[in-house]
Amino acid sequence: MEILSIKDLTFSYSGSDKKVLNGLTLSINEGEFVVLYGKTGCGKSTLFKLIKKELTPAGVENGEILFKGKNKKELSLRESAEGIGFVMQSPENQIVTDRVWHELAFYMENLGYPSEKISARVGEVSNYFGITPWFGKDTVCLSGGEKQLLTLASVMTVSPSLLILDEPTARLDPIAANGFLSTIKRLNSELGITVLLCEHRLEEVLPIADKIAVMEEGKISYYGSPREVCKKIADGEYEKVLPTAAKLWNKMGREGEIPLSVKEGREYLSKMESKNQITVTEEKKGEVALEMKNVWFRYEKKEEDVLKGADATVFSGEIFSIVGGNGSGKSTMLKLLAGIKKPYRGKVIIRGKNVARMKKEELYRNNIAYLPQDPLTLFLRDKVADELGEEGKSIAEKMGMGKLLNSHPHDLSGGEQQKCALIKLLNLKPKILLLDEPTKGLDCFSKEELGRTLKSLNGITIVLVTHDLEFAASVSDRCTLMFGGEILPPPRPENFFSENNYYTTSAARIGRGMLPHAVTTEQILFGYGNEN
Amino acid sequence: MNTKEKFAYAALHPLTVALHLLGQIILGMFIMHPVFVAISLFFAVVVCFFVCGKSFLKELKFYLPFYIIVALSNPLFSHSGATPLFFLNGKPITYEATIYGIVSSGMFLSVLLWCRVWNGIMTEDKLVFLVGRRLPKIGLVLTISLRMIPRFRNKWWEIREVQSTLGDFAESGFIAQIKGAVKLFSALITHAMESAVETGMSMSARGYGLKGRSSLVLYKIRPYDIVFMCGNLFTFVAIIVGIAMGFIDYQFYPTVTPVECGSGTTGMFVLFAMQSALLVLQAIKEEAVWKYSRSRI
Amino acid sequence: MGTEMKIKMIISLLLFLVLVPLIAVGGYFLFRERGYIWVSVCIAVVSCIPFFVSFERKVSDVRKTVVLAFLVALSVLGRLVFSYLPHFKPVTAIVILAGIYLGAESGFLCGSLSVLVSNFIFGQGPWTPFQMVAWGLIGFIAGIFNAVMKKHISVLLIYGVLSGIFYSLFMDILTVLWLDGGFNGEKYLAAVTSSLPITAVYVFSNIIFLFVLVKPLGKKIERIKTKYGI
Repeated sequence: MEILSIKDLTFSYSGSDKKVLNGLTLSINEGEFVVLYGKTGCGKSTLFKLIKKELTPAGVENGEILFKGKNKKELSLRESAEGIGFVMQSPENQIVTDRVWHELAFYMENLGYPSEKISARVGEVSNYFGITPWFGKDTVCLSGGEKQLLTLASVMTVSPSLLILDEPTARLDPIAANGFLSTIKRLNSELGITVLLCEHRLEEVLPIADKIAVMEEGKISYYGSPREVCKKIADGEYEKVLPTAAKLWNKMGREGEIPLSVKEGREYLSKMESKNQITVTEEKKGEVALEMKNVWFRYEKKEEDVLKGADATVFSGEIFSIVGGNGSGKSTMLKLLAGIKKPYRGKVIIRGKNVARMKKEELYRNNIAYLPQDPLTLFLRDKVADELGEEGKSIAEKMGMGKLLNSHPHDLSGGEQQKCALIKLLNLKPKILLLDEPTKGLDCFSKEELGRTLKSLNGITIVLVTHDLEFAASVSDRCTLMFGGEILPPPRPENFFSENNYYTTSAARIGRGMLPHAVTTEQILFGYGNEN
Repeated sequence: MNTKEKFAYAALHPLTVALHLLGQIILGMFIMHPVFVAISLFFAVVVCFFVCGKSFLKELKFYLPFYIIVALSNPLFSHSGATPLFFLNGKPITYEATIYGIVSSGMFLSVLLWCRVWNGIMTEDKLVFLVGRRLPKIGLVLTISLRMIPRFRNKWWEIREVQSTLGDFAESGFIAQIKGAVKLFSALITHAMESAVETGMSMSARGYGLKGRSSLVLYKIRPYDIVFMCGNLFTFVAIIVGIAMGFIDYQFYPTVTPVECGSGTTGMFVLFAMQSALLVLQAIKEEAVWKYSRSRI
Repeated sequence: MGTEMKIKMIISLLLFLVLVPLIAVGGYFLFRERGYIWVSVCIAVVSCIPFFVSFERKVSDVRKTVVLAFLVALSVLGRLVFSYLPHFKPVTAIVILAGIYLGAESGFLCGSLSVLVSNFIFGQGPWTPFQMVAWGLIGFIAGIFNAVMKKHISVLLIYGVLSGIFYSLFMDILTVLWLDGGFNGEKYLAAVTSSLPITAVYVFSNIIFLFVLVKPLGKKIERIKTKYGI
């Protein structure tokens, strides 16, 4: 049975002629798991808000939206609130109350459920989602993954029949993201809840989805089972968004059925024969740019150590990446390198000088630049142009961002914000660039561009910490893992990822045992004689 | 919050505690009788130790100078009273005013300490619970802002740290400091506003604003609470009646009344001591029950 | 809200309107020389009630709730992050702006709730109800004269100065009442004089923050109001 049907939907925001949605048609059956893919700014979020009546923005709307056969206009707010669950991107902003139990009760309180029913349901849901251990906690203390799970659990307390998720994993680390996605799959298969999910990481969602819709310029351009759609989009620009296995299939002659998961990719690859070996390039050892010697750090006297004798050496001009799960101390370590925090034991040495003894001016003028996790904290003014200065403006124009100069930094997309922040930092002419999660919330197109930009910055030493293993594998000269407050000695990414079993790229998983040292799609293609 | 406090007062309904403490604060604030003040002060200190643990010793360092200053300031300003002790700048410093200063500052201190107890036991969530029962929307405004404060505070530190790496080098001078702080604050507002809008959307998406909002009852009034409240009410009413009957009349001016020990007055003292000791008894009782239950494991 | 709730609310309102004055008068005779402070605390508590109830009875609007909570959080945070500069705080400025842009009731609520919440950090005490009324009234009056203040920034700044002085004078009353039991003109004058520098800092900080915040905050609130139609 059709649960959601959208016919010929057109929408433009009030005060603008631009049609954000332009004749969009989509039909979803009960119990389906549908993934919506589209580039940033294609109107996905607008579509989702239009489906959810309470969130409908001001503007001109034409066409029809039917939920369970009932027109949106006739749907009461209560029916919409109870029938359609909605989860957004930011785990931080969606949590309303200060206690976990209260957050779980919030939805039901709004709908006026009796108190006894609320208590019973809260208990049931927190068991199902495994929330019980932190049930009484303050919501501030939760990790990003826990917060997002709590948001989902809170939505599920009223058991909506349609669940809409707008990039729910964009701000989570890969392990938390996978956990979140498998919870959604569980809801879909165990409870039969219809899921409409918008997601950049097709790698993880395609194998579990029933259908995928690709959205372009306010319309659905492809809609069907993941295999069908992947085959269709493999020719165009969307080739880049395909899962690794499908990319290999696409470049290696397209024999047989298109593989989507790692398992299918391995099967596919095992039928092929490798032609080239991947050679691991020698480590280039130059001048030492940055050094950490036995660094210990904790935030408060009575808290636990975050860094426990971390050692690292970064050479001049290299790109050095550090990966690791949430709470491994990556970001803290970067703050120590940036001189924002000081170790209580050990030394951070930047180009021969102890950071603790350097004045701010010496440390930050033409020396170190730090890109924080939230690039918006770099901006204080209301206009991008005011932030960048004359020189920055001309760079921005060259990068095709001339149009954005007059907008508010908060109105830019994640990729654009990241770019502006980089321009602003490069304006300071730094010798060392420290990047904290530079790919957070970027789609694969912006990610590729960022990778290219970083590689082109010759002579600047870059230290980046990231969750994004694919990105780390493709850009870095050396890569290492942070664990238990220590930094493991960094080998080349080829060694690092091919030796890891769990914490590694999809390409390395597909190629394991068949093509040693291959960790990126390009390397596998090279190994099998399919360059370009 | 230390564990002892949690055990001792978690068993009580917030309303029970709130009413008890309000009673303590009202009686403590409005009865100017040396013995009453002494009783109130003594138990306030004891309960503070139960609630705050050792850290209370540090706080006492802050409270004591305040007490002394208030006690001394009265005879300097007020010159009424019949027994001059000595003269300062030609004005008499009287015995009565000094006694009044000591008693009244003891009273302020006891009220401050009872408020400190309030702060320790009646955490925000309990207050929100009490407010939210009668005034749900205001309760919600309170809840949301309580959730936003730590979030914004973290953001504030984040912005400050990041901006310090961007060449904001000259940070000396009062005006420059204010200027910098105000600029950061205005940036914080922008950030906070954006996230508040998203919070609002998440609330509407979950049906906030529909008619007929209910609320989860977290604390239930149990028989024990009723016993506690009845005891409290009895002593409170009895003391009020006692005041109306003039049992605890006390005069400082023109001469200080000697403390009488008639049966009515003594009864008042005992009742007030009983009422002030309720939280202490509660803590001891919980401790005993806990020890007993543990011994059976 | 069901009729049952409504009846409950009316009853509790009546209870407050009848009971509290009774308690006040009774307390006055009971506590004699401490009677003044008793009555004034009662008045402070009672005068908050109608504002709270009228806010409660209006239609619940998500955006208004959130923006109000946002402003409360902001002023509490302002009090917190500027605590290293004694008495220099943006609370009054934010409360005034809340009154102007969200209406008189919300102004009162913003002021009084900011006090209630921030005193969890700075300490609750008998001063809490007084501060609640003082800051609440500052926001409420700003809400009444919102049209003039939106138009002329000079009026707004003058109001900032006046409210700084008002707050200081008002809290000095409490100081004297509390310390002395009765109202003593001489002591009041002494309290006012000794708090003159603090009053000056209040006024100064009000002007600074109003001047700096009125544009960005006003613009933001207006933007959200038009975008989401509060």
